[in-house]
Amino acid sequence: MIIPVRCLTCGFIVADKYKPFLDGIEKGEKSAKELLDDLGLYKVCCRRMIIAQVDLVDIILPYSKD
Amino acid sequence: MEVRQLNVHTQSNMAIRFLITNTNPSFANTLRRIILAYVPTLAIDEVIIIENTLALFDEFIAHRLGLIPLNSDIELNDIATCEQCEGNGCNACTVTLRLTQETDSKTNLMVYSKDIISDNFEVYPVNDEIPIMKMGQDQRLILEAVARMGNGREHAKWQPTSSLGYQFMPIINVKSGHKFNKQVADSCPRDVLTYNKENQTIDIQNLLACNLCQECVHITNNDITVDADPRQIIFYVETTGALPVETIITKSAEILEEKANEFIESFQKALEDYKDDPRLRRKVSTFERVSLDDV
Ligand code: SF4
Ligand SMILES: [Zn+2]
Ligand SMILES: [Zn+2]
Repeated sequence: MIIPVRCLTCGFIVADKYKPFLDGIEKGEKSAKELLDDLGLYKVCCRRMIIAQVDLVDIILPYSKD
Repeated sequence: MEVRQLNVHTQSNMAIRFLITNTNPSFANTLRRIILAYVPTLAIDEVIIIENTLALFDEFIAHRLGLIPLNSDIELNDIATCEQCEGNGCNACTVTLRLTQETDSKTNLMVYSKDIISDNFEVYPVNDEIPIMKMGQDQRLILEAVARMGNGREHAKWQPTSSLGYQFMPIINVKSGHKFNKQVADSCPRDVLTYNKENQTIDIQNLLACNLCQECVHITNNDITVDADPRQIIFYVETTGALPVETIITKSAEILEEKANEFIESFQKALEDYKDDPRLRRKVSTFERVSLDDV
């Protein structure tokens, strides 16, 4: 759906690091590993939050309540 | 007991690593559990949704709001014991935050934590770039959130730390006069061991990085031994941003002291109450205060 605010395992704030990660991947200057290290995601649990995220929120956006 | 700071882990003072010597695992675990369960922080607990035409439903948004760490380094009453409002919520124990967003018929909009407007200038989301929700076209969101103090026993959103733990001090013994090969140094996942090519020996370069995995012990068939010293404990605390790490640690020790004092008081009261009780044979007249140094 949308990136979870915190890592499900340890509670580290990961939501604010998702966009910089995507931007970095887009640029292509650094590898995913380097980007994750730079963002301070040094634990495996937090890294998988970013890597395994599928943003489905754009698909449901038009379906509002009225 | 003596404490030595080892190094600050990340760029932004979000974590601390320190060594406690002359202590024991039960003390370190007490500290850890108090930090997790009792150090109070501020978090959004109640959300009043006035209007929400988003594709994301109310509970979803409320849950995400609750997880955003707010600056908790302030004085605020606990709502359960607030004298002014008897638990109904007032200015002395709660903080109201507002969020209002609207989109027109052309653009989508990502709502970030920086869009939250707080009534109290000291209370704000510590992290500005947390996406809360995404809005489609022609959608509207008006909500009011009430933040209050709480602790980790109630809900994990009030925990002040994200990762928190301790390990025993490693004691590495390399058999002297023995010839090793380079694989031994390479087998260490934390780069603790270095290989000395001339003498074919192993040096310990970075002892505190060792995580006691015993890989070097297995690969050398006990020519290197790794032991753990439970009297020296390496403690690691990483904050979510709600409180500075130093405050978390000092506060946890204060809470421990408070609890010990509370116990002493009620114990003495119990002795006082049953002083004349014939069933109580032994009379304890003095009771020494436990100071934290002796724990
Ligand atoms: S126990 Fe593990 S981390 Fe420690 S020195 Fe041996 S291989 Fe390295
Ligand atoms: Zn994690
Ligand atoms: Zn109150």
